Amino acid sequence: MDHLLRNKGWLPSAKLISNVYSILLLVYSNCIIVLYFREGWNYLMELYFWILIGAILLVSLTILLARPPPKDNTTQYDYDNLDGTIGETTGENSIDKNSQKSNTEKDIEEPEEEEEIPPEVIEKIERRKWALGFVMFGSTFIMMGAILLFLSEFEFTTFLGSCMMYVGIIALIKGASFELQKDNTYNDLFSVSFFLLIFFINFILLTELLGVFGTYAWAVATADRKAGDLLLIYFLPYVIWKLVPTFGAAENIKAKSSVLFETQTVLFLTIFNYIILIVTSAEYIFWPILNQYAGPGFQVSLYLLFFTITVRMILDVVTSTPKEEDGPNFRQWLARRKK
Amino acid sequence: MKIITNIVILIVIILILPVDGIAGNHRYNTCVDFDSLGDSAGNYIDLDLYEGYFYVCKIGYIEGEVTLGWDVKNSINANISIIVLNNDNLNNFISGNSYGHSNMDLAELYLDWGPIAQFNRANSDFSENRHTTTDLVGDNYYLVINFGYRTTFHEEEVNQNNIFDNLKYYNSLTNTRDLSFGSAYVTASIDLDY
Repeated sequence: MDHLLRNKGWLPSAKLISNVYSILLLVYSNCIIVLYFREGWNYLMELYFWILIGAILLVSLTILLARPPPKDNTTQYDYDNLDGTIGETTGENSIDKNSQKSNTEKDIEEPEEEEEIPPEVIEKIERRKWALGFVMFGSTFIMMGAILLFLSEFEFTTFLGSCMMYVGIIALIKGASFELQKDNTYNDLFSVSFFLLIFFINFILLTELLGVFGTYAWAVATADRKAGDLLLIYFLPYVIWKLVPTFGAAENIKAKSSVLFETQTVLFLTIFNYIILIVTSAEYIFWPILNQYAGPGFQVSLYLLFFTITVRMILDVVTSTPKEEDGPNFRQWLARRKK
Repeated sequence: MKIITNIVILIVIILILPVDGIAGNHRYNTCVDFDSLGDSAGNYIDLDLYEGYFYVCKIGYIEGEVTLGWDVKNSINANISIIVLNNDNLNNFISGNSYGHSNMDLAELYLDWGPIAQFNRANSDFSENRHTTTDLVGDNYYLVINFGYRTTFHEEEVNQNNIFDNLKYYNSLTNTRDLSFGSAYVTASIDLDY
C-alpha cells in the first residue's frame, strides 16, 4: 500500500525542468513522468544529475544553433560566363600587347589569389575541431572523475566522479564519431555500436552507481514507475545520442521528415531486446536487473514494430495507388463521359 | 516484395506476441500484487487448460530484506503445489533438472496441496496463504504453480509445450474468467512488502 503513497512526492528538479518548458517540451514531458519520489534518494545528487543532463542539452543546443545553415543545392551553382570576340591584328607588337594584357589580367586576378577553400575541406576542418574538442573535453572529465573516485570515498564525490566519467565517455564516443564522419567511414554499424555503448553505460550508471533501478520488483511497481523506468533505460540514451548534433544530420532530417520511426530501427530494437531477454533468462550472462526490464522492453518494441509496419503499409498503399493506376483520374473520366 | 516482407514480419510478431500486455513480461505473466488487487481476483488459471502442466508468474527483481508471500484460491482443492523460485531454479524446473530453494526462508513458502485437500474440502475452505520475511540475494523471483508437471525435486523426464501449444494459454483477448461456483480454477496473488 505504502508504495502508492510514495509516488505523490515531487522533487525540486521538476520545477527546474519546468522553467525550460518552452524550449525542451519533449524532454520535459518525459522527465515529468520519470521524476517521482524514490526511497533513499538524495536530493542533491538527483539535482546534480539533472544539471549534468541539462548541461549536455545546453551544449548540444549551442552547437546546433551555431552551425551554418544547410546549403540549398538548387541555388548554389553560380557560373561565371566570360564573353569575348576574336579581333583582327592591327600590326602592333603582339608580344608587347600580350605582355601588357597579361599584366593587366594579373592585376585583376591578384585579389582572387586568396584561394577559396572548398566547402568539403572546411567541413573536414570543422569536424576535426569538434572531434578534438569532444576528445579533450571527454578525456578531462574522465580524468577528473577518476581522480575524484580515487581520492575520496564520500557518497557525493563518488556520485560526482561517476557522472563525470559518464559524461566524459559519451563525449569521447561523440568525438570518435566526428572523426569517422570526417573521412566518410562512419556507417550504420558504427552508429549502432555507439548507441549500444551509451545504452549500457547509461544502464550501469543508473543501476550500479545511482541505484535508481532494482529497488522495486516489477510486479509491485506502479504504472508510472514502470513507464518512467522504461523511458530512462531506452529513451534517455536515445535522446542523449540524438540531441548531440551531427554534421550532415540536417540533410537526413530533411529526407526523413516523417514522425514515424524507421521500420529498420524498430526491428533492430526488437531483436536487441529479444537477445538480451534470452541471454539473461538462460543466464548465459547473469544480469537479473537487466532481465527484469528486457521483458517489458521487448514487448513494447514488439507493439511499436507492429504499429510502425501497419501504418507504413497503409501509407504505402494510399500513396502508391494513383501512381500505379497511371490512368485518367475521376475528372478526366467524367469529361470523357460527357464528350 | 516489400509488402510480402512486412506481412511475414507481422505474422512472426503475432506468433510471438506477448502473453502479458504491453507492460508485462514476454515469457511469463506478471504476478498481481495483493495490495493492489482491487476488484481483480489476481492471476487466473483455468485448471482444465493447465492440467499436467505448470503456471509461472514473474514477481521481478528482489534484493535485500523483504516480506514475501502468496495468496492462492484453489476452487476444487485440486492437487497442486506452490513454490517461489529464482531464475536458475525455474530454468531447472522447466527443463527437468533437479531444482530446489535458493534460500531456506523460501522453503517456508512451499506448499503441497494434496495432503490438506481433504481437510479443506471438509471445511469448505479453498484458500491458502504463506508469508515469510527473508533477506534475498539479488535475482528475479517467480511464483510457480505445479499442476503435475514435476513430481519430484530430482531430475526427471518432462514434456515441454512448444510455442504453438503455449498460444492456447493466451486468453487476454477473450479474457474469460469463470469464477462461478463449481468451475475449476485457481487464482493467485503475491504479497511483497519492503
